[in-house]
Amino acid sequence: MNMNKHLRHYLGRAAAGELVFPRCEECAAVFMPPRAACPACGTDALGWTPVGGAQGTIYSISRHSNEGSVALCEFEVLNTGTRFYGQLVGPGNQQAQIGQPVELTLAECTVSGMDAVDQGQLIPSIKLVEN
Amino acid sequence: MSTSVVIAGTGVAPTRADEHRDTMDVMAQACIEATRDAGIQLRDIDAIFTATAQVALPTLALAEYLGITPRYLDSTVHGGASNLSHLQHAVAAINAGQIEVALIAYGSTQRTALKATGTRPMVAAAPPLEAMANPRYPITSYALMASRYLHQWEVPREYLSAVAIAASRWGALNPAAQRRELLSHEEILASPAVAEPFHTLDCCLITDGAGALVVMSQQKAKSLGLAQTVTIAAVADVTEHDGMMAMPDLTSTGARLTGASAFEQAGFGPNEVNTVQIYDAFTINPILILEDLGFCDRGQAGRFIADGHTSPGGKLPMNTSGGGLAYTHPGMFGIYTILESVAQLRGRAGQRQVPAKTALAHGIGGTMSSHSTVLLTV
Repeated sequence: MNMNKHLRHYLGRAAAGELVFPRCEECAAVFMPPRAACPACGTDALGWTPVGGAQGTIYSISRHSNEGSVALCEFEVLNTGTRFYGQLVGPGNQQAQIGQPVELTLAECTVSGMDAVDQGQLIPSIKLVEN
Repeated sequence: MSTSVVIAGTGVAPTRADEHRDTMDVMAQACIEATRDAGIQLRDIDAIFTATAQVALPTLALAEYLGITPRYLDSTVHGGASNLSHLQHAVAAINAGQIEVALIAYGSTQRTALKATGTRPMVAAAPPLEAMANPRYPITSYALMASRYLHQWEVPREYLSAVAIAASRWGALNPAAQRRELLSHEEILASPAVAEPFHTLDCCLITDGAGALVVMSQQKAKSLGLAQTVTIAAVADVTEHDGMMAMPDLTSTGARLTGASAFEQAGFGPNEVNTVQIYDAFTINPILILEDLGFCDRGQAGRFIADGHTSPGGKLPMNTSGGGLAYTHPGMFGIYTILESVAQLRGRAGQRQVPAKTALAHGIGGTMSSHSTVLLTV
């Protein structure tokens, strides 16, 4: 449900190994999630900006017993106050804390039966930055 | 808002039953009880408002099942705030002269369905980008708010427990409540971890239930000789996001806007509210909403609740039915915030009765995504 063409584009680029966020061609707002119109200025003149390796911090986190952690992260590149929600993958995800530095990454989707994403397909995710 | 519109009757279907029940029947039971309470016939209803995830085309199905042919239909659905929004729509339609008597109904048999099939009907689905991160939707979303709140204000986890403990104190006074026993912080921590920082006892119940409201103009109520009516003083709605990526601030919600709007419409403020009913799907909810509505400063509501101010005998009786944590939670709790407000204002709340001339009800839909604040007076 609630799938859309902008999201399909975003997921297609990720599946091909490319991390991008939506970017407004009028006001340069970079935001998540992908939408039909810019949340800052309202135009539908939207494009994409590469964000591979973008650095951010954990804004909030919830650990799930046996199922990894979900984190909501702030990234400087997201210049309109939106955040990135994703699975925290890799070493240390069960000990991660609010405020820790993270990096956008690609990881295999662990969920099956979804529209536009197969289990094992690369999706944008988050990993802790190793000190 | 011109405030000549009243709630003239309420009906509730029991939370518990031994027999198998279907959603149509609990809804019909609540509707019939509400019309009797209002002293009207089903055929007097000319507008129907309903939201449920368990009936297809619910306004049509319910109208036919009740044998009525309303000329105004509203199946607005935005989660647990929907039935409060129905009040706003009913007031507008009555003030515009389009309708005379509105019936607002909600119902669900989640617990029956869970027992019968092992799964319960969902009222919403996670946004796609959240679903692929494998969360426990919607629990994870509220858990993220709770984690952020505890971190941001450097307050203890006990404040979340205080919300469930206060709910259990009210539930103990409500014979209709699913949970009657008092809870402790230790019991909450000993319940299974769901999504940090939440344990099972931080989350609402899964029950059956239904509620209905009959709404009409003050003038109409007077002509019917109805004495025990409750005036709708204000209703305000907003949405600022659907999913968590677009939620502007995890510790402050759209209730800032609906509260300010509702108090402006009603011409009074938080200090003049005698009791509040806030949709408590999770323990973090009443904390954030009390702050956003102006009852507490930011970062202070957890302490306020832990100090007992919202418990029986406290200065701001909150969720006096026991709420979604102790009384009932059939999928969406919104209509119960109105039902309990009306019960308190009419002096029909039994052992849990508080002195009340004004009441606030607050509904929340999605993941803190839709908000509706209602002010009621007698």
